[in-house]
Amino acid sequence: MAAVTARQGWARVGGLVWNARGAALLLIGLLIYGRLADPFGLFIVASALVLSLLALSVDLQWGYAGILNLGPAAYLGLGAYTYAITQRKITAGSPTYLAFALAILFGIVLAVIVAFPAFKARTLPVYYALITLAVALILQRWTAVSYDLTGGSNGLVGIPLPDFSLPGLDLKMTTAEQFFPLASGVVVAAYLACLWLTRSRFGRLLAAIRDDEEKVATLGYDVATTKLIVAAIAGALGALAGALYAPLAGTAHPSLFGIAFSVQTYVWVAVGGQGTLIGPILAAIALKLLENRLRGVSADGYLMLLAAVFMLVVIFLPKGIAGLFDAQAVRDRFRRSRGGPIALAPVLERPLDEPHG
Amino acid sequence: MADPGVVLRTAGLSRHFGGVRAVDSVDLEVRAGHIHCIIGPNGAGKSTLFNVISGMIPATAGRVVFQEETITGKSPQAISRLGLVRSFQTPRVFAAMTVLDHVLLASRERPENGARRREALARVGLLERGDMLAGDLAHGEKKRLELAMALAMRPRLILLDEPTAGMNAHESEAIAGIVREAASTATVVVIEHDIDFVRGIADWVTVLHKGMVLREGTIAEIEQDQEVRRVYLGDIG
Ligand SMILES: Nc1ncnc2c1ncn2[C@@H]1O[C@H](COP(=O)(O)OP(=O)(O)OP(=O)(O)O)[C@@H](O)[C@H]1O
Ligand SMILES: [Mg+2]
Repeated sequence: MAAVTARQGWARVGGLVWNARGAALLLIGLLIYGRLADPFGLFIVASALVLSLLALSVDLQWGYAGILNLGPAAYLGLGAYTYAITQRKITAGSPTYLAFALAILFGIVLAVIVAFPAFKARTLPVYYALITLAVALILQRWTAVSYDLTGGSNGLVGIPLPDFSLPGLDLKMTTAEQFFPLASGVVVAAYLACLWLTRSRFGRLLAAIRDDEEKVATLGYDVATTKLIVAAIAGALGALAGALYAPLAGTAHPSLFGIAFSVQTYVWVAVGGQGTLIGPILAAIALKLLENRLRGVSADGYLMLLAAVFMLVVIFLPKGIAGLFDAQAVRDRFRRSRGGPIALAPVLERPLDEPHG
Repeated sequence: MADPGVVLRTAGLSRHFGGVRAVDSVDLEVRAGHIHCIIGPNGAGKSTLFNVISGMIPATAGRVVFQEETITGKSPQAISRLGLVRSFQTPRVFAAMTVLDHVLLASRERPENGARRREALARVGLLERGDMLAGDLAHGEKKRLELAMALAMRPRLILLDEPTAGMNAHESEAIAGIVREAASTATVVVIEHDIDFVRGIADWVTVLHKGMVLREGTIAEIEQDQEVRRVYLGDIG
């Protein structure tokens, strides 16, 4: 018995290591890139990494729990402005820790405020999608007109780099390149946390909810609360992305709440592979680098290429690029055409009031 | 007044869809330890009755009492956690999840102890299918997986909606065995069209017709009944 348990224990450790291989490869890749790249390349990849946190938040909701949040950029903007305003208003000591903590807190609070009524009232999923879209647009409008707090449509500029110094320990960031290791560490940690979450029993519950909420409820699970937890975690991740993005870009601007960031995030998740976590991160880096290459040549050309890549992936690779490396997903692809990244079926499905069967 | 032998009772339970009286003032008493079969023609309101009892759709009128507690208006998860569990007429399994994970989800067991899970799978004969994706199972196996999920929850009362639908006689016989065994630890209410199956397991039979209870009794009494023969048994037998 003890031997069996020990063997199972080792098998689990082995399984975790195997599952985390993506994180190890990502980390090695980033270390090599950090050695070779020029400062501008580091800046580009750092911003891709920071924004990939937002992609992780979308993948967690959409790819794992089937929750369609059409305004993920709301959290990017919220986190960015929270960081910027905290840094501006609090001059005593280093408000960096407070700025990050507040950003994450507000991200969770906003997510719960938006999601609670929608999930508890068991409304159609499409309402949640529309509400999240509306919230992002409202916040964008509001930041654009409230000059005193947010600087209006000009946004806030000159946002200081984070200063993580502790008594006796100087951890003040002085150049934007130093963002690269910070962003790398945060993304790898966030990836591992999401991986652990989605491989846990909680993750299995999410997968079941994505498939058939009603059935899950008859198994005695509180579907609304589970989805609320996912939305809150995603809110925290999204706001963290914003709080990192503001000092990296040096500005906080109403466009952070905008459609463009939300759409970009969905493109990354779809192209990288929804429900894979690593896929969206890699897509963020690859597409950001590509964008940067092509922007000099033709900005419109990049957008058209992106649209083409997006459509091809959506049509031919339901599990995105990462799905190509996932044997299970390949088998799924040949077996049935169910799903696909733009699977709106669960969103537009029948109301909860009318069970079939 | 409250009879301790009654696990589930509905009083004046109704559910209307617009003008359709799918369930119309149904008074039902299910006795502890019984296998209670509900039969009736297509559209009689059998599944709707289950949907209302299990909290999936609200009742238009009336109430449901489970183990002395009124459960009308409670959420499906609350009702399920009280020990009232159901299966569906068309199997609802999670296509991309393994068979083992289904019972894991239903049993709430930690992955390292698998006793309850394996027991539930063994009882429905799906132990060898543990690592398969539920989407790849045959129809009959999916129905058995539904049954295994219900059993893994260790319920007090199980509502089974046509557990043998789409099965051959041999498979139905196996299901009858599973249901009988389940009845040793729980009360079972079964909706069925297969009258041979009902004859083999039922302690008590309720005939539903146009949303209303037409007759109640032992299977022998029901099969003798002229009215039941006219509206239901006649046209299938
Ligand atoms: N969600 C719904 N909306 C509208 N009408 C419904 C709904 N569900 C059931 N009905 C109607 O209620 C009546 C009873 O349907 P129900 O599914 O309960 O019958 P049943 O006895 O289970 O039939 P079967 O033997 O075919 O499964 C039917 O007329 C059906 O069309
Ligand atoms: Mg039915």
